[in-house]
Amino acid sequence: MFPILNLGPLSLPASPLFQLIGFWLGTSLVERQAKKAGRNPELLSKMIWITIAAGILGARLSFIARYPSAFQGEWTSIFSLNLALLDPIGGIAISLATLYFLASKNHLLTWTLLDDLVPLIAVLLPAIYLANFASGTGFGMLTDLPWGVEQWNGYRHPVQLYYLVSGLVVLYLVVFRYNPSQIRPGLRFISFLTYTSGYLTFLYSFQDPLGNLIGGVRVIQFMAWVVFTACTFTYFKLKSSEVNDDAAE
Amino acid sequence: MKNKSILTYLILPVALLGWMWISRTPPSAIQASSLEAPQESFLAPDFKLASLDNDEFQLSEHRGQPIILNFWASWCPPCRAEMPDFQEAWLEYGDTDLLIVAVNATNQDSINDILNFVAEKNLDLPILLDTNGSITSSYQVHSLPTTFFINRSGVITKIIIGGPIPLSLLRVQAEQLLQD
Repeated sequence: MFPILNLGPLSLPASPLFQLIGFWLGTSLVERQAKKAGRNPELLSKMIWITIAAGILGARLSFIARYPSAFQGEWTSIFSLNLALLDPIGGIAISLATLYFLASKNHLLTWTLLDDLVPLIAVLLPAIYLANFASGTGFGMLTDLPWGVEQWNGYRHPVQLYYLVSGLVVLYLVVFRYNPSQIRPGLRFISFLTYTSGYLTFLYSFQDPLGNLIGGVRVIQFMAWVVFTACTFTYFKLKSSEVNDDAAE
Repeated sequence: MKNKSILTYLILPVALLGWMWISRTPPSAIQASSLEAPQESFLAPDFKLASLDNDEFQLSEHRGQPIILNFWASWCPPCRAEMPDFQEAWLEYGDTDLLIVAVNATNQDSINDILNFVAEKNLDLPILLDTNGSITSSYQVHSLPTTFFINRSGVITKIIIGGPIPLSLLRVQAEQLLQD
């Protein structure tokens, strides 16, 4: 664990730093690949930033809506810079709604848009895994294996590193080996979701589920499996229609 | 041919379903809440400190009470900004068993500055003095203020690093701890 990075005279919190770097690299990659594919990188970049801003605003509004009585006589705290006053689920819902609205307004409501946004998430996920390893969150189950790392009073599976390696492999497959002219629109996005939910389903067995169990089965792992199964069948359908199109040609 | 392809795509979901079943975990194997560590879902590390009024405070003696544990110093601007809200919450929840405790990182502070600040803000919530910094260190507090929210079982439910924490957020967390 290395929660603080000491760079010369600077002491920086490692976890938010890695996530910010991941976001910056991801957006840069989206712009670069969009330009290469002949699309409008400025428009994509603008959509990403508006979506993020709407997400943050939405997360704050959603928090206020959930706990209105906590703000009685405390209305100025609506503008507090404290990130704990954000509701992540509300934020994600509002940012997705914003992205949908922007995409339909700009006539970009297609599989291609989702394909174009894949690099952002594909870079951001490994950055989040590294940030979690630095801060010790999302820690693994206790283990006797020789590669166990000492975290929180025991030797544990370095599950954040398992995720990191898997995330980097997926990044290589869906971003650096991607050729938009060779695959059908949507296949990149669905491949990304399939690979990601697949490794999450497998590796979550090594993470401490913190009691989120139903009959011993990890709830998050089951949700990842549902996504994986749905994506596998969507992948199959897209792939088979690709074969049919090729045959028709 | 198509049936063969469908089967290929079925193998992995079925295999992963099997893996999920094999690797399911009995709740007794989840050990975090029985180990002490300054991390969410773990037991809050026990400590014993003297207060500003020279009373002794031991965390484990208050097991059964929800606790908000704030680490602070009088020279730290966000700590100074949030302390009146902690005092306000201390008064608001005075008729409940919620305990708000402010641990001063005294090895980085001075008693005179602490006393002046306490008098200036009319603070009467318990203030503990971590004179050698050992508790700040065992809680891995890397920046001030840092606040730990501890439930009745002594388990850390949330950690907020940085501040100031407004009264509204303290109310939300306090209500959640009291309902736990």
